[in-house]
Amino acid sequence: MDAQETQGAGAQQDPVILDWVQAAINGDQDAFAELVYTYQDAVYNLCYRMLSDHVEAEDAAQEAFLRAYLNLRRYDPGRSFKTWVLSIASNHCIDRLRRRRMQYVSIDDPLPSLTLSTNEPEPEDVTIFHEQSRRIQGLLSELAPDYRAAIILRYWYDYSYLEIADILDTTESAIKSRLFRARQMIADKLGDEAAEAVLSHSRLTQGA
Amino acid sequence: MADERQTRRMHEALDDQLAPEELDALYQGLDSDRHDASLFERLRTVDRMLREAPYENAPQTLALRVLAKIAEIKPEQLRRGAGLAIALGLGLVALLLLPLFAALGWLIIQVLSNPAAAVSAVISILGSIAGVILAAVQSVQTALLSSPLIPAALLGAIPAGLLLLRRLRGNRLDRERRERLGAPPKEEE
Repeated sequence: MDAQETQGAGAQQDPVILDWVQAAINGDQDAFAELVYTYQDAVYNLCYRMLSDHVEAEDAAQEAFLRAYLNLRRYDPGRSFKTWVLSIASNHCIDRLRRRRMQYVSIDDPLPSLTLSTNEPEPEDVTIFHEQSRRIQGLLSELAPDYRAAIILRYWYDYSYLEIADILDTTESAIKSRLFRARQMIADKLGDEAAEAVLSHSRLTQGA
Repeated sequence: MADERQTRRMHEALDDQLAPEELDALYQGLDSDRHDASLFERLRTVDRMLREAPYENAPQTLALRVLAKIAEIKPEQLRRGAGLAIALGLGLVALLLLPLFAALGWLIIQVLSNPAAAVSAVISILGSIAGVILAAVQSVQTALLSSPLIPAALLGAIPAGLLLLRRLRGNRLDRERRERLGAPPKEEE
Protein backbone atom coordinates (compact mmCIF):
# COMPACT_ATOMS: atom_id res chain seq x y z
CA MET A 1 0.00 0.00 0.00
CA ASP A 2 2.43 2.61 -1.28
CA ALA A 3 -0.05 5.42 -1.48
CA GLN A 4 -1.06 4.76 2.10
CA GLU A 5 2.50 5.01 3.31
CA THR A 6 3.40 8.09 1.36
CA GLN A 7 0.20 9.86 2.31
CA GLY A 8 0.06 8.82 5.95
CA ALA A 9 -1.79 10.85 8.53
CA GLY A 10 -0.39 13.15 11.15
CA ALA A 11 2.36 14.64 8.98
CA GLN A 12 3.14 18.35 9.18
CA GLN A 13 1.43 20.39 6.52
CA ASP A 14 3.77 20.64 3.54
CA PRO A 15 4.53 24.31 2.62
CA VAL A 16 4.29 23.37 -1.07
CA ILE A 17 0.70 22.22 -0.48
CA LEU A 18 -0.10 25.50 1.27
CA ASP A 19 1.41 27.43 -1.65
CA TRP A 20 -0.76 25.48 -4.08
CA VAL A 21 -3.85 26.14 -1.96
CA GLN A 22 -3.09 29.86 -1.80
CA ALA A 23 -2.43 30.01 -5.54
CA ALA A 24 -5.67 28.11 -6.23
CA ILE A 25 -7.58 30.58 -4.04
CA ASN A 26 -6.10 33.34 -6.18
CA GLY A 27 -7.52 31.66 -9.28
CA ASP A 28 -4.56 29.54 -10.40
CA GLN A 29 -6.23 26.38 -11.73
CA ASP A 30 -2.89 24.69 -12.41
CA ALA A 31 -2.14 24.89 -8.68
CA PHE A 32 -5.44 23.17 -7.93
CA ALA A 33 -4.58 20.56 -10.57
CA GLU A 34 -1.44 19.77 -8.55
CA LEU A 35 -3.62 19.25 -5.47
CA VAL A 36 -5.92 16.96 -7.44
CA TYR A 37 -3.00 14.87 -8.73
CA THR A 38 -1.54 14.63 -5.22
CA TYR A 39 -4.72 13.52 -3.47
CA GLN A 40 -6.77 11.80 -6.18
CA ASP A 41 -5.77 8.29 -5.09
CA ALA A 42 -6.57 8.99 -1.44
CA VAL A 43 -9.96 10.52 -2.26
CA TYR A 44 -10.84 7.87 -4.83
CA ASN A 45 -9.89 4.96 -2.57
CA LEU A 46 -12.06 6.40 0.21
CA CYS A 47 -15.01 6.83 -2.17
CA TYR A 48 -14.61 3.35 -3.61
CA ARG A 49 -14.37 1.73 -0.18
CA MET A 50 -17.45 3.64 0.95
CA LEU A 51 -19.59 3.10 -2.15
CA SER A 52 -18.34 -0.26 -3.50
CA ASP A 53 -18.78 0.88 -7.07
CA HIS A 54 -16.06 2.25 -9.33
CA VAL A 55 -18.28 4.47 -11.44
CA GLU A 56 -20.04 5.96 -8.44
CA ALA A 57 -16.73 6.34 -6.63
CA GLU A 58 -15.33 8.37 -9.52
CA ASP A 59 -18.41 10.61 -9.51
CA ALA A 60 -18.18 11.08 -5.74
CA ALA A 61 -14.46 11.85 -5.88
CA GLN A 62 -15.06 14.40 -8.62
CA GLU A 63 -17.81 16.01 -6.54
CA ALA A 64 -15.56 16.11 -3.47
CA PHE A 65 -12.81 17.93 -5.38
CA LEU A 66 -15.30 20.38 -6.88
CA ARG A 67 -16.70 21.18 -3.45
CA ALA A 68 -13.19 21.62 -2.13
CA TYR A 69 -12.41 24.01 -4.99
CA LEU A 70 -15.56 26.06 -4.47
CA ASN A 71 -14.92 26.28 -0.73
CA LEU A 72 -11.16 26.81 -0.72
CA ARG A 73 -11.57 30.10 1.14
CA ARG A 74 -13.07 28.19 4.08
CA TYR A 75 -10.06 25.90 4.33
CA ASP A 76 -8.12 26.40 7.56
CA PRO A 77 -4.36 26.29 6.74
CA GLY A 78 -3.72 25.01 10.27
CA ARG A 79 -5.39 21.76 9.30
CA SER A 80 -4.06 19.15 6.89
CA PHE A 81 -5.43 19.69 3.38
CA LYS A 82 -5.69 15.93 2.93
CA THR A 83 -7.79 15.63 6.10
CA TRP A 84 -10.01 18.46 4.90
CA VAL A 85 -10.63 17.02 1.46
CA LEU A 86 -11.16 13.54 2.91
CA SER A 87 -13.73 14.92 5.33
CA ILE A 88 -15.61 16.46 2.39
CA ALA A 89 -15.42 13.15 0.51
CA SER A 90 -16.47 10.99 3.46
CA ASN A 91 -19.45 13.20 4.32
CA HIS A 92 -20.49 13.24 0.68
CA CYS A 93 -20.27 9.43 0.51
CA ILE A 94 -22.27 9.05 3.75
CA ASP A 95 -24.97 11.29 2.23
CA ARG A 96 -24.96 9.22 -0.97
CA LEU A 97 -25.30 5.99 1.00
CA ARG A 98 -28.15 7.39 3.08
CA ARG A 99 -29.90 8.43 -0.11
CA ARG A 100 -29.43 4.93 -1.42
CA ARG A 101 -31.29 3.85 1.74
CA MET A 102 -28.77 1.25 2.73
CA GLN A 103 -28.88 -1.28 -0.07
CA TYR A 104 -26.88 -4.02 1.53
CA VAL A 105 -24.61 -6.07 -0.73
CA SER A 106 -24.15 -9.72 0.09
CA ILE A 107 -20.62 -10.99 0.63
CA ASP A 108 -21.28 -13.60 -2.04
CA ASP A 109 -22.40 -11.10 -4.67
CA PRO A 110 -19.84 -10.49 -7.41
CA LEU A 111 -18.51 -6.94 -7.45
CA PRO A 112 -17.71 -4.91 -10.57
CA SER A 113 -14.28 -5.42 -12.10
CA LEU A 114 -11.41 -3.52 -10.55
CA THR A 115 -9.45 -0.71 -12.11
CA LEU A 116 -5.79 -1.43 -11.59
CA SER A 117 -2.84 0.90 -11.68
CA THR A 118 -0.83 1.28 -14.87
CA ASN A 119 1.95 -1.06 -13.61
CA GLU A 120 1.14 -4.40 -15.25
CA PRO A 121 1.07 -6.95 -12.39
CA GLU A 122 1.49 -10.71 -12.75
CA PRO A 123 -1.79 -12.64 -13.37
CA GLU A 124 -1.49 -14.45 -10.03
CA ASP A 125 -1.05 -11.15 -8.19
CA VAL A 126 -4.10 -9.80 -9.97
CA THR A 127 -6.17 -12.78 -8.82
CA ILE A 128 -5.05 -12.38 -5.21
CA PHE A 129 -5.65 -8.64 -5.38
CA HIS A 130 -9.14 -9.16 -6.81
CA GLU A 131 -10.00 -11.83 -4.28
CA GLN A 132 -8.81 -9.86 -1.27
CA SER A 133 -10.36 -6.63 -2.46
CA ARG A 134 -13.67 -8.39 -3.18
CA ARG A 135 -13.81 -10.09 0.20
CA ILE A 136 -13.02 -6.93 2.13
CA GLN A 137 -15.41 -4.85 0.07
CA GLY A 138 -18.18 -7.35 0.70
CA LEU A 139 -17.61 -7.17 4.43
CA LEU A 140 -17.42 -3.37 4.42
CA SER A 141 -20.65 -3.10 2.47
CA GLU A 142 -22.49 -4.80 5.32
CA LEU A 143 -21.64 -1.97 7.71
CA ALA A 144 -23.66 1.19 8.29
CA PRO A 145 -22.14 4.27 6.56
CA ASP A 146 -20.81 5.84 9.79
CA TYR A 147 -19.12 2.60 10.86
CA ARG A 148 -17.74 2.02 7.37
CA ALA A 149 -16.20 5.50 7.26
CA ALA A 150 -14.52 4.99 10.65
CA ILE A 151 -13.01 1.65 9.58
CA ILE A 152 -11.77 3.03 6.24
CA LEU A 153 -10.17 6.09 7.81
CA ARG A 154 -8.51 3.93 10.46
CA TYR A 155 -7.14 1.17 8.23
CA TRP A 156 -6.51 2.78 4.86
CA TYR A 157 -5.37 6.18 6.12
CA ASP A 158 -3.93 5.28 9.51
CA TYR A 159 -5.75 8.14 11.25
CA SER A 160 -5.97 8.21 15.02
CA TYR A 161 -9.29 8.12 16.89
CA LEU A 162 -9.07 11.88 17.37
CA GLU A 163 -8.35 12.59 13.70
CA ILE A 164 -11.26 10.40 12.60
CA ALA A 165 -13.51 12.18 15.09
CA ASP A 166 -12.43 15.49 13.57
CA ILE A 167 -13.11 14.29 10.02
CA LEU A 168 -16.52 12.82 10.85
CA ASP A 169 -17.40 15.67 13.21
CA THR A 170 -18.04 13.57 16.28
CA THR A 171 -16.35 12.62 19.56
CA GLU A 172 -13.35 10.38 20.11
CA SER A 173 -15.39 8.00 22.25
CA ALA A 174 -18.03 7.70 19.51
CA ILE A 175 -15.31 6.76 17.03
CA LYS A 176 -13.85 4.17 19.40
CA SER A 177 -17.26 2.67 19.85
CA ARG A 178 -17.94 2.62 16.08
CA LEU A 179 -14.57 1.04 15.34
CA PHE A 180 -14.96 -1.64 18.00
CA ARG A 181 -18.47 -2.51 16.92
CA ALA A 182 -17.58 -2.52 13.24
CA ARG A 183 -14.63 -4.84 13.84
CA GLN A 184 -16.80 -7.08 15.95
CA MET A 185 -19.48 -7.18 13.25
CA ILE A 186 -16.93 -8.10 10.57
CA ALA A 187 -15.49 -10.82 12.84
CA ASP A 188 -18.98 -12.21 13.43
CA LYS A 189 -19.72 -12.21 9.68
CA LEU A 190 -16.42 -13.81 8.90
CA GLY A 191 -16.94 -16.69 11.31
CA ASP A 192 -14.29 -19.05 12.64
CA GLU A 193 -13.77 -21.16 9.51
CA ALA A 194 -13.50 -18.21 7.15
CA ALA A 195 -11.14 -16.48 9.58
CA GLU A 196 -8.89 -19.53 9.60
CA ALA A 197 -8.98 -19.66 5.79
CA VAL A 198 -8.07 -15.99 5.55
CA LEU A 199 -5.26 -16.45 8.02
CA SER A 200 -3.86 -19.47 6.12
CA HIS A 201 -4.15 -17.61 2.84
CA SER A 202 -2.37 -14.62 4.33
CA ARG A 203 0.43 -16.84 5.68
CA LEU A 204 0.81 -18.52 2.29
CA THR A 205 1.00 -15.27 0.38
CA GLN A 206 3.51 -13.87 2.87
CA GLY A 207 5.63 -17.03 2.68
CA ALA A 208 5.61 -17.07 -1.14
CA MET B 1 -17.75 -15.58 27.75
CA ALA B 2 -15.84 -12.33 27.25
CA ASP B 3 -17.10 -9.47 29.37
CA GLU B 4 -17.39 -5.98 27.93
CA ARG B 5 -14.19 -4.78 29.58
CA GLN B 6 -12.17 -7.69 28.23
CA THR B 7 -13.58 -7.20 24.70
CA ARG B 8 -12.73 -3.52 24.89
CA ARG B 9 -9.20 -4.39 25.89
CA MET B 10 -8.91 -6.71 22.89
CA HIS B 11 -9.86 -3.90 20.52
CA GLU B 12 -7.55 -1.45 22.27
CA ALA B 13 -4.72 -3.97 21.97
CA LEU B 14 -5.30 -4.18 18.22
CA ASP B 15 -5.15 -0.38 18.01
CA ASP B 16 -1.92 -0.27 20.09
CA GLN B 17 -3.71 1.64 22.83
CA LEU B 18 -2.80 -0.64 25.75
CA ALA B 19 0.09 -0.14 28.16
CA PRO B 20 2.48 -3.15 28.45
CA GLU B 21 1.06 -4.19 31.84
CA GLU B 22 -2.52 -4.03 30.49
CA LEU B 23 -1.43 -6.10 27.52
CA ASP B 24 0.08 -8.70 29.88
CA ALA B 25 -3.19 -8.80 31.83
CA LEU B 26 -5.11 -9.32 28.60
CA TYR B 27 -2.89 -12.20 27.49
CA GLN B 28 -3.13 -13.84 30.92
CA GLY B 29 -6.91 -13.66 30.67
CA LEU B 30 -6.82 -15.18 27.17
CA ASP B 31 -4.63 -18.06 28.39
CA SER B 32 -7.29 -19.08 30.88
CA ASP B 33 -10.35 -18.68 28.62
CA ARG B 34 -10.58 -20.53 25.30
CA HIS B 35 -13.66 -18.63 24.19
CA ASP B 36 -11.95 -15.28 24.73
CA ALA B 37 -8.85 -16.55 22.96
CA SER B 38 -10.95 -17.60 19.97
CA LEU B 39 -12.71 -14.23 19.85
CA PHE B 40 -9.40 -12.38 20.04
CA GLU B 41 -7.99 -14.55 17.24
CA ARG B 42 -10.94 -13.68 15.01
CA LEU B 43 -10.61 -9.96 15.78
CA ARG B 44 -6.90 -10.16 15.06
CA THR B 45 -7.62 -11.81 11.71
CA VAL B 46 -10.03 -9.01 10.81
CA ASP B 47 -7.46 -6.44 11.89
CA ARG B 48 -4.75 -8.12 9.82
CA MET B 49 -7.02 -8.48 6.82
CA LEU B 50 -7.91 -4.80 6.90
CA ARG B 51 -4.29 -3.75 7.38
CA GLU B 52 -3.29 -5.76 4.31
CA ALA B 53 -6.20 -4.49 2.23
CA PRO B 54 -5.24 -3.20 -1.19
CA TYR B 55 -5.39 0.49 -2.02
CA GLU B 56 -7.53 1.41 -5.00
CA ASN B 57 -5.80 3.92 -7.26
CA ALA B 58 -7.84 6.56 -9.04
CA PRO B 59 -8.53 6.00 -12.73
CA GLN B 60 -6.62 8.36 -15.01
CA THR B 61 -9.86 9.96 -16.12
CA LEU B 62 -10.64 11.33 -12.64
CA ALA B 63 -8.18 14.23 -12.62
CA LEU B 64 -9.10 15.15 -16.20
CA ARG B 65 -12.79 15.17 -15.34
CA VAL B 66 -12.23 17.33 -12.25
CA LEU B 67 -10.05 19.79 -14.13
CA ALA B 68 -12.53 20.03 -17.00
CA LYS B 69 -15.32 20.87 -14.54
CA ILE B 70 -13.16 23.44 -12.79
CA ALA B 71 -12.27 25.09 -16.08
CA GLU B 72 -15.99 25.78 -16.53
CA ILE B 73 -16.16 27.68 -13.25
CA LYS B 74 -15.80 31.44 -13.56
CA PRO B 75 -13.63 33.30 -11.00
CA GLU B 76 -16.65 35.42 -9.98
CA GLN B 77 -18.42 32.25 -8.85
CA LEU B 78 -15.63 31.66 -6.35
CA ARG B 79 -15.78 35.16 -4.92
CA ARG B 80 -19.56 35.51 -4.94
CA GLY B 81 -20.20 33.13 -2.08
CA ALA B 82 -17.85 34.79 0.39
CA GLY B 83 -18.81 38.35 -0.67
CA LEU B 84 -22.52 37.70 -0.31
CA ALA B 85 -22.10 36.11 3.13
CA ILE B 86 -20.10 39.09 4.43
CA ALA B 87 -22.58 41.61 2.99
CA LEU B 88 -25.54 39.76 4.52
CA GLY B 89 -23.81 39.47 7.89
CA LEU B 90 -22.95 43.18 8.00
CA GLY B 91 -26.47 44.13 6.91
CA LEU B 92 -28.00 42.00 9.65
CA VAL B 93 -25.74 43.48 12.34
CA ALA B 94 -26.53 47.03 11.18
CA LEU B 95 -30.27 46.28 11.22
CA LEU B 96 -30.09 44.94 14.77
CA LEU B 97 -27.99 47.82 16.06
CA LEU B 98 -29.95 50.63 14.41
CA PRO B 99 -32.80 50.93 16.97
CA LEU B 100 -30.29 50.66 19.80
CA PHE B 101 -28.16 53.50 18.45
CA ALA B 102 -31.26 55.64 17.77
CA ALA B 103 -32.49 55.21 21.36
CA LEU B 104 -29.01 55.92 22.74
CA GLY B 105 -28.71 59.09 20.63
CA TRP B 106 -32.10 60.34 21.76
CA LEU B 107 -31.18 59.72 25.40
CA ILE B 108 -27.85 61.56 25.11
CA ILE B 109 -29.53 64.59 23.50
CA GLN B 110 -32.20 64.65 26.19
CA VAL B 111 -29.68 64.37 29.01
CA LEU B 112 -27.56 67.19 27.56
CA SER B 113 -30.50 69.55 27.01
CA ASN B 114 -32.53 68.89 30.18
CA PRO B 115 -31.25 66.21 32.59
CA ALA B 116 -34.29 66.30 34.90
CA ALA B 117 -36.76 65.98 32.02
CA ALA B 118 -34.69 63.11 30.53
CA VAL B 119 -34.76 61.16 33.79
CA SER B 120 -38.49 61.69 34.18
CA ALA B 121 -39.03 60.64 30.52
CA VAL B 122 -37.05 57.41 31.04
CA ILE B 123 -39.02 56.67 34.24
CA SER B 124 -42.27 57.39 32.43
CA ILE B 125 -41.32 55.06 29.53
CA LEU B 126 -40.33 52.28 31.94
CA GLY B 127 -43.61 52.82 33.81
CA SER B 128 -45.57 52.52 30.58
CA ILE B 129 -43.75 49.27 29.68
CA ALA B 130 -44.45 47.87 33.15
CA GLY B 131 -48.11 48.86 32.78
CA VAL B 132 -48.41 47.06 29.45
CA ILE B 133 -46.80 43.89 30.88
CA LEU B 134 -49.09 44.03 33.93
CA ALA B 135 -52.19 44.42 31.74
CA ALA B 136 -51.08 41.49 29.56
CA VAL B 137 -50.50 39.26 32.60
CA GLN B 138 -53.92 40.19 34.01
CA SER B 139 -55.69 39.41 30.73
CA VAL B 140 -53.91 36.04 30.50
CA GLN B 141 -54.93 35.25 34.10
CA THR B 142 -58.53 36.08 33.30
CA ALA B 143 -58.49 33.92 30.18
CA LEU B 144 -56.95 30.98 32.03
CA LEU B 145 -59.56 31.14 34.77
CA SER B 146 -62.44 31.37 32.29
CA SER B 147 -61.95 27.85 30.83
CA PRO B 148 -60.04 24.77 32.08
CA LEU B 149 -59.26 23.78 28.48
CA ILE B 150 -56.81 26.65 27.97
CA PRO B 151 -54.38 25.63 30.76
CA ALA B 152 -54.56 22.00 29.54
CA ALA B 153 -53.80 23.06 25.95
CA LEU B 154 -50.89 25.22 27.15
CA LEU B 155 -49.53 22.33 29.20
CA GLY B 156 -49.68 20.11 26.13
CA ALA B 157 -47.92 22.73 24.03
CA ILE B 158 -44.81 22.66 26.26
CA PRO B 159 -43.46 19.25 25.14
CA ALA B 160 -44.44 20.01 21.53
CA GLY B 161 -42.56 23.31 21.72
CA LEU B 162 -39.51 21.61 23.24
CA LEU B 163 -39.49 19.02 20.45
CA LEU B 164 -39.76 21.75 17.82
CA LEU B 165 -36.88 23.70 19.40
CA ARG B 166 -34.75 20.58 19.53
CA ARG B 167 -35.42 19.83 15.88
CA LEU B 168 -34.67 23.40 14.84
CA ARG B 169 -31.42 23.32 16.80
CA GLY B 170 -30.48 19.97 15.21
CA ASN B 171 -31.12 21.38 11.72
CA ARG B 172 -29.01 24.45 12.51
CA LEU B 173 -26.10 22.35 13.81
CA ASP B 174 -26.32 20.09 10.76
CA ARG B 175 -26.29 23.12 8.46
CA GLU B 176 -23.30 24.61 10.27
CA ARG B 177 -21.42 21.32 10.03
CA ARG B 178 -22.14 21.08 6.31
CA GLU B 179 -21.04 24.66 5.75
CA ARG B 180 -17.83 24.03 7.65
CA LEU B 181 -17.10 20.96 5.54
CA GLY B 182 -18.02 22.69 2.32
CA ALA B 183 -20.99 20.43 1.66
CA PRO B 184 -24.18 21.81 0.08
CA PRO B 185 -27.42 22.02 2.10
CA LYS B 186 -29.13 18.69 2.69
CA GLU B 187 -31.55 17.74 -0.05
CA GLU B 188 -35.10 16.90 0.96
CA GLU B 189 -35.92 13.32 0.00
